[in-house]
Amino acid sequence: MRYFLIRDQQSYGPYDVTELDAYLKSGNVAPGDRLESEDHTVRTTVADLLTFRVVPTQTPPASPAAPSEPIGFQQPSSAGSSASEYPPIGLGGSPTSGTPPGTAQYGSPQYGPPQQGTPQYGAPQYGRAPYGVGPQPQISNHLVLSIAVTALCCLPFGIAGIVYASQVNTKLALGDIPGAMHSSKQARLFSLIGVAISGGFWILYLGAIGLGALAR
Amino acid sequence: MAGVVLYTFDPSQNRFFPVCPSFALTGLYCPGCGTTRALHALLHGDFARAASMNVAVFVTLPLLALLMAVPRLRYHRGFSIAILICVVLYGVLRNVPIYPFSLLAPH
Repeated sequence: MRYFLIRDQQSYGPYDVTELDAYLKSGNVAPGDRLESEDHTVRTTVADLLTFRVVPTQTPPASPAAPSEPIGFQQPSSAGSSASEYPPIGLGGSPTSGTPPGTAQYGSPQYGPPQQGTPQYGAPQYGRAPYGVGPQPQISNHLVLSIAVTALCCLPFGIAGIVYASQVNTKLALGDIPGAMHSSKQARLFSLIGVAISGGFWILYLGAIGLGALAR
Repeated sequence: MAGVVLYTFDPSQNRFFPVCPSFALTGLYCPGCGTTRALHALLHGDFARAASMNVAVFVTLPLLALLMAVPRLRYHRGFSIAILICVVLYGVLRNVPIYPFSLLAPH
């Protein structure tokens, strides 16, 4: 999937994830810049997109005349090229880092100036490893809760919880974030069912004993 | 409070403690059967009796402490699958009424 970069109500791109990653590292794109997917279904930010990317997304090369140039004020495709053929790095006349991507060559000066009140985004500002090589996002697998339910509640729900907990780990290792989140929810669900049945049973049990003691 | 109750009353001598629901329903020993009695024995320092009730408490309790202390271990793929296999295997073996395995059942 490719994304339009939206800054100061201007839209640039679209770019694929690999390009955005490169622009972020070179400082042309800020982590807080907003993104909108090509089909306008997903809105996110550069930081969110790249942080949760585990496997680099390879997208097919852009068709020269992108079918959707849906944002009205964009350069018409009659220019003979899609915007992505003009990467924002090292554009003639604006070599400074911090240049907003992909505008200057259109000869529309209102899009182009590098200084738009946005600070320079150098890598040291993030204070962490480059996106994509850091630790994977961790999704709780509720393993401790599952084992506790198995051992202490004496119920098979705990085993189901451990099954889903190990699925979380397997899917995380494969980069299947939505699948891992689903397994995480299942693990929690089964463990909590075990806790609820056990807790409910104990409450009823102690209540019955209390009533028996009162009736005596 | 649960610890005080568990220390004061012996689960095997008091009707107060409920029987394991899995055992009540199926008549089979689940991996957790005997844990209450084993914890009671542990609270009294009676390791031999704890082992005869549910030997797994010697693994489960340190394991839970370890997992709580080391979050990274929870996300180790092989580790969680190994736990799963051990739990299921233990649950099966302790229902085998033949000598070495019968030691695993609460007795």
